[in-house]
Amino acid sequence: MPDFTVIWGGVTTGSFYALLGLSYLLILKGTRTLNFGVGGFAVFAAVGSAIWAEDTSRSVALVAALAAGCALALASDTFVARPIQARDTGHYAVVIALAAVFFVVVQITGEWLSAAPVFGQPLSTAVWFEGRITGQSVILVAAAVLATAAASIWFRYGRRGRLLSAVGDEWQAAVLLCLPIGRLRILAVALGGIIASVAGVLISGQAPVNFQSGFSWALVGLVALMVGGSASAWGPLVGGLIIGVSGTLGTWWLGSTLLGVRDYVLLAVVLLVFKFRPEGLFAKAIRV
Amino acid sequence: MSGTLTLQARGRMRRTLAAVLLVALAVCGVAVAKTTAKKPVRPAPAKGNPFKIGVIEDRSGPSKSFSQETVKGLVVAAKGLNNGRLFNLAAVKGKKWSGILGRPIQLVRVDSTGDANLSLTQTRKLISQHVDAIISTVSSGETLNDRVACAESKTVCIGPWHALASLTQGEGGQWMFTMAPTFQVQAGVVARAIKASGCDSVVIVQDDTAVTSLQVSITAPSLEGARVDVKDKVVIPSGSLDMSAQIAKLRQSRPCAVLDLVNPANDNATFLRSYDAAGIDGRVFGLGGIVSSPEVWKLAGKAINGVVAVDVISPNNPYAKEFKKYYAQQQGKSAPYLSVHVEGLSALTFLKWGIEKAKTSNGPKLKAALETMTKIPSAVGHYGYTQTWTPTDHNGATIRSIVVLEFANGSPSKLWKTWQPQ
Repeated sequence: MPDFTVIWGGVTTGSFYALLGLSYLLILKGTRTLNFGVGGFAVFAAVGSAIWAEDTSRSVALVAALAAGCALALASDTFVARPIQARDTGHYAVVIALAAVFFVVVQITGEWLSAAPVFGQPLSTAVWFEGRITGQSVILVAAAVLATAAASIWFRYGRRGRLLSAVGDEWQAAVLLCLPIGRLRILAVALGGIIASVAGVLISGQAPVNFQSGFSWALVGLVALMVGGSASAWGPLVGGLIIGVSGTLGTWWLGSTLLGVRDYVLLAVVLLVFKFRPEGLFAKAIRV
Repeated sequence: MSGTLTLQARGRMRRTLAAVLLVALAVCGVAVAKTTAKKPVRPAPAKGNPFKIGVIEDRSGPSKSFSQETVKGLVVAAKGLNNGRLFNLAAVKGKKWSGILGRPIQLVRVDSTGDANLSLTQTRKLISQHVDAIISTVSSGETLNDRVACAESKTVCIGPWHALASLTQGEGGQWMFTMAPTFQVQAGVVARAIKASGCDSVVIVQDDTAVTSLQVSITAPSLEGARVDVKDKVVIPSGSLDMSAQIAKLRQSRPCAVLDLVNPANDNATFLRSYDAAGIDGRVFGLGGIVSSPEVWKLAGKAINGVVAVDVISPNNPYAKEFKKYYAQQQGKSAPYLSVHVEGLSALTFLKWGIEKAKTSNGPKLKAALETMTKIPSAVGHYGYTQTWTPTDHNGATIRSIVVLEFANGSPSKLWKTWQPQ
């Protein structure tokens, strides 16, 4: 049986995926579409914060990275998603266009920021248990839990949060009720961009990242949302933790004999959830 | 009293005079030596119709880092040779030419983007442009594809750092030449180094890419052959954010030595940092990848110190030192000096000497000349190491091409004192 530090490793990566899943969820609620750019916003912020911290202070780099992630998210929505949705060309067109946005952001990161892997400055250099648990990993887990709790409370009790939930659940009804859809959309996308950037900045202080990291981040963050379900803000956190911990345990048990075991475990989790809970673990309760 | 003082003063005067004379003699000696010493005669800069050497490079794909560094080495080497610097060929007897036969070397560069199919297309494009030979700086997988076009068109192709033995074997390998020690030779050296460190068992840490799996499939039998027991294999998936499972496995294995075959720079750095933080005793050994990747050195920080790895640059090889100096002049003192740079130089000097021997760049004649190259002094490997190619051996590297280095102060800067290939 692995010791608790192995489980903690899974919790750490799971928390990172949870933040990405939460970013997807927020943008989904505000825009009715999956913005694959989430992986790109995260990687841009991760690489950017690491690079900029070399020339400026860490706090300036951090704020700049969050602002950049937010701006990229808003730009992707304003200039790509919104015009395509306005033409009502079907759901696939906007999804494909946003996938293209992701590739563009990733390439921009590689060309303009750094093609080489970079290591961000950790917010904490504390270590425990012979270096197996780091202060940075604790911050990452805490950030995921706090962001999820804050989003959950906001969706339930916050005025704009409740409106956003309503828009996400019933778009047509929200249109008929003349809810401020445009402003809520901007708010959701901006928050989604910031949360993706927080995820990127925190993970870059935990492990080196390069611009190509965004590919797996975009995919696994989406899987975290799909496994957890989109009906609750807690869905991505639960989904992320399941993926992170099962991946780490799979590596522990089978890593020596089966190459790519983490991907097999991810596939198995997705297949199991789709078989028994296709709507994710946190499904929407429909009152009749 | 005054007589005693006079004697002491005389003694001091004699000693001072003797010292002044000695210094004067030394100064004069140096001055005379400087004016009479023979300066190495450097041929005049190359001019005329250039020899076109095709270079296949990867500007954006997975081999970008290796490829672009090799190209830097080739560009600097070509400039040096065109300006009459001879590097390792200075010791070869015969008429000395700058460039090739006094004509400049022109590098014609094409991008494969890391795509094996595009790489083959670009090779054919170079051949259609009538290049005299082709140097591949892309992955072994792409080069395996490219050599088909080399064989079809009877064009000599060279892999400067390629360690895959099958590249020069079989029908397709007849027009391909390599000069770096093969994976088998590297594995044999690392196995003996592990043995020399007092260990008879090792845990292999690898990434999950196909190239590394191939490397492991070649290395593991060599380790077993040298009676080094492979206790376990720990796999690090590409893009891993956390190594806790792998480190826990290693902690459980209690390895005497760890062989680091993780090639992606970020994964390797994460592993080295986690391993260092965990305080596991087993010494880390590495193959050529780690010494050619300054990204790993930078990202791993102090965790890389103490790692023992095989390389082809010896701090004691004067040709490598001379090229290092010239490379620093061209690229700046802060630019890292890597094995792929020296291997780029080796590829160009090999080609230069072959064409000069054949007195033509005609494919079949050049190939015949290259196949009879014997005992060429090399900028790679230990000082005194020479390379020989034959019709049946298009690799030309032996165990003496490998230098075992130890990382100190964040770079592979010192020879490992415990053991060196002889």
